[in-house]
Amino acid sequence: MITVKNLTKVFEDKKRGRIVAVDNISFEVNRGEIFGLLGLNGAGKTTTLRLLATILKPTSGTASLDGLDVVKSPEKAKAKLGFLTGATGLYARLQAREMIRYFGLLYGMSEADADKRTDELIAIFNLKDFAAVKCDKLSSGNKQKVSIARTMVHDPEVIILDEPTVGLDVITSRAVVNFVNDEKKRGKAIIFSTHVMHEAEKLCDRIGIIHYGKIIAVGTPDELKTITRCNDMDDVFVKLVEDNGNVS
Amino acid sequence: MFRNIKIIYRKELVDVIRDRRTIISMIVVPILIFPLLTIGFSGVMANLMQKSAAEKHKIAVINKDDAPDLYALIDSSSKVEIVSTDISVDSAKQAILDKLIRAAIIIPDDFSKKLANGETTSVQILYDASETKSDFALEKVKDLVTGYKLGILNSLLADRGVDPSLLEPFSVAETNVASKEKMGGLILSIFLPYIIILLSMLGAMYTAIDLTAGEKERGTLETILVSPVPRWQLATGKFLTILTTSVVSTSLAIISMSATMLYGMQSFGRMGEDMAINITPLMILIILLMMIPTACLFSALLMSIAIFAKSYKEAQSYLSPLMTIVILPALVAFLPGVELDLKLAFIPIVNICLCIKESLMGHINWIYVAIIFITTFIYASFAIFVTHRMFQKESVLFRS
Repeated sequence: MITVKNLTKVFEDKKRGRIVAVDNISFEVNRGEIFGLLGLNGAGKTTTLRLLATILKPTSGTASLDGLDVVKSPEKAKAKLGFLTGATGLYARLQAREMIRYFGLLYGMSEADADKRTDELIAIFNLKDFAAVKCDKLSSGNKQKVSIARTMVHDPEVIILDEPTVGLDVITSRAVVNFVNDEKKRGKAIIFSTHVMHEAEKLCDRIGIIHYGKIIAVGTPDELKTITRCNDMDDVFVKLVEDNGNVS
Repeated sequence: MFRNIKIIYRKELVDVIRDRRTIISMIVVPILIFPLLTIGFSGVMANLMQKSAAEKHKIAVINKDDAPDLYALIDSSSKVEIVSTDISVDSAKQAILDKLIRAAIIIPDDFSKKLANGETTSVQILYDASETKSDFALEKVKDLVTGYKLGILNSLLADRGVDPSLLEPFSVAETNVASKEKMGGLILSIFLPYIIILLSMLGAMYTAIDLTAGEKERGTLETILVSPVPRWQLATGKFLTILTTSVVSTSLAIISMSATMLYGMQSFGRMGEDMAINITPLMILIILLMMIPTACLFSALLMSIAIFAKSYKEAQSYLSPLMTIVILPALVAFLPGVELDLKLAFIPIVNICLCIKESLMGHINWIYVAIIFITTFIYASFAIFVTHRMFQKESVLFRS
């Protein structure tokens, strides 16, 4: 499970001064739950996710992944995490299979285990014909599949997916969504971030809306609809964001 | 711990070797640069020399009527061609500047008469020192005039019954006591320090950019940072990869240079006959002792700068000026009279160049070798430390 407690991140920018990108955020994601994190561009979403992935260090507050503190034991916490964002690219000159296997090894697998797991993932994601293709020669759909396979190589307890379906065709996009649902059934704690509201509504058990670095609402899709008295998820989001427009 | 570094090192090496640009900068350039330079340079030089020597330079003779003997001598020479005799001094000067003629001889008034009377006089030669061909013409004309002078001298002496050999009571002969190997060492000592400094930097440069700024540009830095590998291990794996390409290119360049010298001596002309390249195990040891820490220093230095850049291009613009800066201390080491001493032994790059230069000439001072090896490693360690710090800094890794 994921526990986020009073997480805050301040950037010192020479031109713009002090920027509070993440402002005292707290939330929890349980096992077998998909938590949607929604927000406008620049709302602090990516920073929050990077803090959870220990790529950035929080200014104050902390978070834990499967009971491991991201500040105190970042390497151990990372070993529990599968992390995919638009900024986690593939090594262009590695073949799809080499890419997945490399990360298997980095997560501490033996060569034999990494080979086995790579074959498994190649089968799951239907990548057999592309296993020996260099990553920069793959179609964007297959690239995303390889990225997800890379994310899942160590069968993590905690999964963070930032816009995993962006730019994908309907079939691939549906395959990704189905995969995320399967992982949920296997008891994983998942954070799923997207700009597509109806996708969030369909997939997520609970949704948190982040705005100006703060979580302004948390609840099931139905709860959020009730609070805002809107029926459409897009309207729900817009209303919440507009009502909190003057937060900072 | 070492397992992770090994995994990263192996992957980075595969990654980098699959890039054609790395192969060119790490293998092709170091192998070809020296043979091409040698063949090209010596070929062009020899060609130019031959052409100039064979060319019949056009000259003018002013006031030829006062020196008919000298004129006849010059006119009969196959080395120059008299194209004008009725030209003023000023227009001769202009003609030389305009490259219409290459030199002009001005014979003073009453030259023959003064010679017959035993008066001293002087012949003037006009030429343009900024023109190689004019220089050649000057030499040829001087030879002719001096030959004429000697002829007159000999006949004057003969007239007075004096043996001309009296003019040279003894002769001076020079003998080079340096062995062929030492002469070869001189040539090696000129080129080798540059090659080590330049190639260990050039060899590291491309990989250093590719593995740092290149990763940012291609969006893979975040992918690797998410893996549970501690950042210092990541930095170390990358550093070792850069070091490998640096050492490989430098070694290839040294081997290629030695081979060029061994098999291509003839291209050095007469100098080549007096030279031999004899690379002893001791020399290889010294070269390695100097090359390894230098490669470490540059690898870490370039990496710590390149990680700062957001893109390939930005990294290149940071690193290119460094090339010029680094070559300066290497030049200082070649100023005449600069010799390795305790103070210079601590100045990076200068100390490496001086130590290699002096060792190849046969002056191996193991104390200096040790000092330089250790200090360069200390500088390199500092650069590695800075690199590791850079890999911890959010402001460097996620500069926006």
